[in-house]
Amino acid sequence: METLIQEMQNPKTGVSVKCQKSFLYTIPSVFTGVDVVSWLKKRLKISDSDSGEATHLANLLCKFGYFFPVSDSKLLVVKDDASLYRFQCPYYWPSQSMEPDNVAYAIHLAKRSMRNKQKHGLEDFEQTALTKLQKMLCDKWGFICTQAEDQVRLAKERKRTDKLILDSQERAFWRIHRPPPGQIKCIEDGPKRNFQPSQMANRKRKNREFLQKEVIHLRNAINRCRLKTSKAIESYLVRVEQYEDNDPFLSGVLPSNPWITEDITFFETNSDIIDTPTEQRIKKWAVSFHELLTDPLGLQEFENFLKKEYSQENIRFWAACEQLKFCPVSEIPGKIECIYEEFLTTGSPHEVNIDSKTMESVQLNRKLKKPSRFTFEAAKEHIYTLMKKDSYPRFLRSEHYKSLLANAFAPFGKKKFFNFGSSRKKNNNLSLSPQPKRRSSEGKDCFDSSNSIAHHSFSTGNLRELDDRTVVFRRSNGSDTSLPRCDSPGVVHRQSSALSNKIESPRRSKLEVPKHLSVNMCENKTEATTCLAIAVPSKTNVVAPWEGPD
Amino acid sequence: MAATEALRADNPESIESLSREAESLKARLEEEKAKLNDVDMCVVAQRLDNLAQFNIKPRRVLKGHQGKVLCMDWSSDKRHIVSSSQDGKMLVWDAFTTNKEHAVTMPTTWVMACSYGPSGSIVACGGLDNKCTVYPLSLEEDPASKKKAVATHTSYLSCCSFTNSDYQILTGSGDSTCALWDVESGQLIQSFHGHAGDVMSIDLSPTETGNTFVSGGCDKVAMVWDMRTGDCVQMFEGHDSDINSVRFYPSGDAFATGSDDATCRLFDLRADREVSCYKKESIIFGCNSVDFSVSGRLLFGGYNDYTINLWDVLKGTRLSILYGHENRVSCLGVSPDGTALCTGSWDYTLRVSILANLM
Repeated sequence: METLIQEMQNPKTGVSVKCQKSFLYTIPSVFTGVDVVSWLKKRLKISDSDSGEATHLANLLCKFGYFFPVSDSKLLVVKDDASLYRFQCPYYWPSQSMEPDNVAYAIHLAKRSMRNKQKHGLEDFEQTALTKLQKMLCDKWGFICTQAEDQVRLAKERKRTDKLILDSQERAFWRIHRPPPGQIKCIEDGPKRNFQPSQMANRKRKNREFLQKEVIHLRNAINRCRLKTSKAIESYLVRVEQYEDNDPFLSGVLPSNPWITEDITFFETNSDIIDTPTEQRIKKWAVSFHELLTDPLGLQEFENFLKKEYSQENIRFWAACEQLKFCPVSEIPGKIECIYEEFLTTGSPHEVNIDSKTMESVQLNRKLKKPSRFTFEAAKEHIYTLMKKDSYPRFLRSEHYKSLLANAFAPFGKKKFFNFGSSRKKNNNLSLSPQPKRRSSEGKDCFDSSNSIAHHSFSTGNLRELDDRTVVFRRSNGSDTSLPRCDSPGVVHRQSSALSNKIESPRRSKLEVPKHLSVNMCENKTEATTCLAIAVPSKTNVVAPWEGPD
Repeated sequence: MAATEALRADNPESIESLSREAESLKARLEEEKAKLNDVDMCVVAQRLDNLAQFNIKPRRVLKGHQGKVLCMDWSSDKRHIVSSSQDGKMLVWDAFTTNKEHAVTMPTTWVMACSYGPSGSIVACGGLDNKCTVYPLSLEEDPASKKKAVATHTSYLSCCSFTNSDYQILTGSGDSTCALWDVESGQLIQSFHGHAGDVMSIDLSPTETGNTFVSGGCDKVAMVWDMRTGDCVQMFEGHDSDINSVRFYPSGDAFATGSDDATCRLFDLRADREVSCYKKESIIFGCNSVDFSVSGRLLFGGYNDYTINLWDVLKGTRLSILYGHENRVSCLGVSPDGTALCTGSWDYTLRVSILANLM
């Protein structure tokens, strides 16, 4: 800020300061409002569209006392016109952090009261301040008077213009620090910081513990695995695209934003627990498992779903662990026992399935003297991933979820017609989110594409396998009538599609078997059975989890 | 005698060697980080559509404080607000009707921190009294009758936040520490040492595990902490002045900071570095408070020059400058459902506003 002002005062590049002649007498070293605003605009590259910004900034600089209006001592406002302003001398800048104390103010007021009434007369509020100060500082009043007299004498010896400028600067300074009643004092700081910058530097430099900690931290930091910046940024884009329609600032809300229309339907339809949640809300559950669990209603519906599957102990265990994590200290031991008995004791009605390793860590934690709220952390994580990978996708595909979506409350009003385009976009967006993508749309997509590609890649790939095998057959069988036919395309295609074969192989595997059979059958009936025996395991092994028979 | 001399000789040596080691490690770390810094955010974001200009429309003005408003927080019910001010008052508002529902006078001026509990039936605040006091809210009784001092620091309380429950509260203080407290017993659960200067702001991670939080302070460093162990997990430098505000990106993968150096920055936890800096030559005043819109596309910053700047997080451009207050904007927050923005200012008022699209 100060550097900006210094630049501004630069005689060549700064704001042009000149003597203005007005009417009968000249006003020395002043500049106009237009000048300062346009200078700021140019210097700070403010585009014309935010022209208000430069004026606003000029106003602030004025309020902070870097310059002040010459003619008007009442209002510290910069106008974008020909009104005149003058720079404050650096001695009075806020950065000098001069504590304006009452003694100095009293001297200033006393001085003015001694001088020409017309020019330096005190205003009402200043007069009252003066009498008040006189009472407050009665022991020092003699000193104040002599100081003021001295300063008045000094002032008389100065040149007329200098005197004018200095007087105005001093007045402007007090105008800021002792504003007339009813105006906000703008130079004010918050409470002092506890640590001064020098202290902070010392703490960093001298403190051994600090350094040791830092070294350890840095060592760890070097080994931390990091994501490429591009990957990280990509994830923001994906997120924003996913949530764009849920952002009322960007796409509005249905039926209406209560803050605009005073209609609180939106609040009501989106409260925590409600019978018929909005469609948008249910769709949001499909975005991520976390999104489902953080919504109390989502949690409830998920539990209902799991109840039907007889596996609600998982979600209840998770919820209990969450509660334990944030419960009051006094309740920890009791809660731990409760959870252990209900979910982890063998034979209990709600036993959750965790592997022995996780169980061991839980047992270890339980034996600690001080009960910890993180006793079940390992088990909780295990259950969480289990639900995320298994139950959650099934929940999204379930009839339960579909019926929720079908019965969802669809707020419509006038807006819906206007927003038709965007609401259609919404559907697309949400179904494009990662989880359901895998399930529904992409699942179909890749099935379709794998169908078409598979035929192609499979034919060549199969030929290659066949090729290898037929070599064996040839040796054993000697019936090589069909071989040349199979061999030549196999060789040609192999180079071109070797790569795609590798990628497509898991998808292909499903379709592989019948073809094998047919090829083999026409070739040799006796070999067919052995070929099948080879092909079948490949089918079950390579099948991707989402392509298995549902 | 000999032993103390040996110690004296040893001490500076070890401090020196330690700081040397720290320097070399820092250099290595920078190298490692530079390797993975392959692309600039605004380049990737070019493919996105530009957002239209926004204009801010104040919908409610909450008047009632007799001093500068210093802190505010939204309730989880999306319409109540708690705010605290310099004159020692804490008010609970129904922002929708602009009614004041509770008023609490604190035995101190400069109540710099206040926070709503997740249940919406408890609030906490503190300031120059170095304490964090919780007040259960009920319609029948004066909340002050049930107040309870939970946390005590050795310097002023600058920020506080409930964890995912009403039973724990996290505080940050001018004594350079953060601490996690048990509300019921006032017991210290975990303290977090590491900042060299005053802690100004904290924010809890919204991620699934939710075991971390971020803090920013006057030592220009933002730190990410593990609440379970009390260790600093990650450290982010880059600002040239005090960090006044930190806020997690809604996904929890990053956080934004607002600083006295007139910039806001976005630090990514996974990439372990600053990914974007929001600044403009014409912004020369410090930023007091930052918050994201629910989608994470917009970033609001409340500045000392009485304005709110609206940034496009991905493109790094300023979308709008929003005027409204007559003094510094000290705090701001987007409502939990993202429908409104509340700003508090040194002009003694709070404003609840919405954004209007300038088509």
